[in-house]
Amino acid sequence: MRIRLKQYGEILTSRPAGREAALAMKALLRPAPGELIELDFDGVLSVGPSWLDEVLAALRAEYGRERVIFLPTKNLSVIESLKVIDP
Amino acid sequence: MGLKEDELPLAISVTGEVGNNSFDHNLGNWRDVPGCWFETQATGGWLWICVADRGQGVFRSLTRADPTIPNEPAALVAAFERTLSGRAPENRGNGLKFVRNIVVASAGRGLACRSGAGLVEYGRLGSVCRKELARFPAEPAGTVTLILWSLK
Repeated sequence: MRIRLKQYGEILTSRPAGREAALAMKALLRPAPGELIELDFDGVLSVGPSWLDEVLAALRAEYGRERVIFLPTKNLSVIESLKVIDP
Repeated sequence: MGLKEDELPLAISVTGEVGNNSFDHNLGNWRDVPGCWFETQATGGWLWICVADRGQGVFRSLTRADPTIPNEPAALVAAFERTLSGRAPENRGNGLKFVRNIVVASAGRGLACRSGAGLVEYGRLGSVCRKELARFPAEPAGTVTLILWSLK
């Protein structure tokens, strides 16, 4: 199941916004048992680690760490954010 | 002349993290004026970004999480170099480490941050930012961050 993060904005920053986005994602997601949750950054201009940390923490708590994965991206803000969140 | 395409996401992200800190660490604790001052200027091949607030300052915020931090300069270093948050026990405190990582990763970037008597700089252009900030008298509290980014 793919989450198109662009739906939450082109600039994804701040913990409060990340928390809200995570709540909205959880309300909408209906993954089958064992189905992967794919985070798709296509079309997103910039992501901050605070926003991403809130989203990841919420999704991993709900579905398990292994089921939440990232689709490949060249966006450096995503790559660098993940380095501090998932060192 | 503008930021390179792959650098724009980083500049936005860095600025966002610094700005968010103004709010995250001062909610309910503003001294007088809530919010932050945000200004950018592109001139002479450089992008200047300034974020300033009249909040409680980094020292007061971080000593809630670590009372052993001795003073304002040490608090600023901790803010940028340790995973520590004034919002403990929440699991957070990565934002300014991210900012520092980005700034030091390229020769065309720099940052200086002043909070009370503390003043730190990071990156090759950090000393330029520090020199600018040092032109103004230190406030007893509040935080100002100046970021410099090469557009060349």
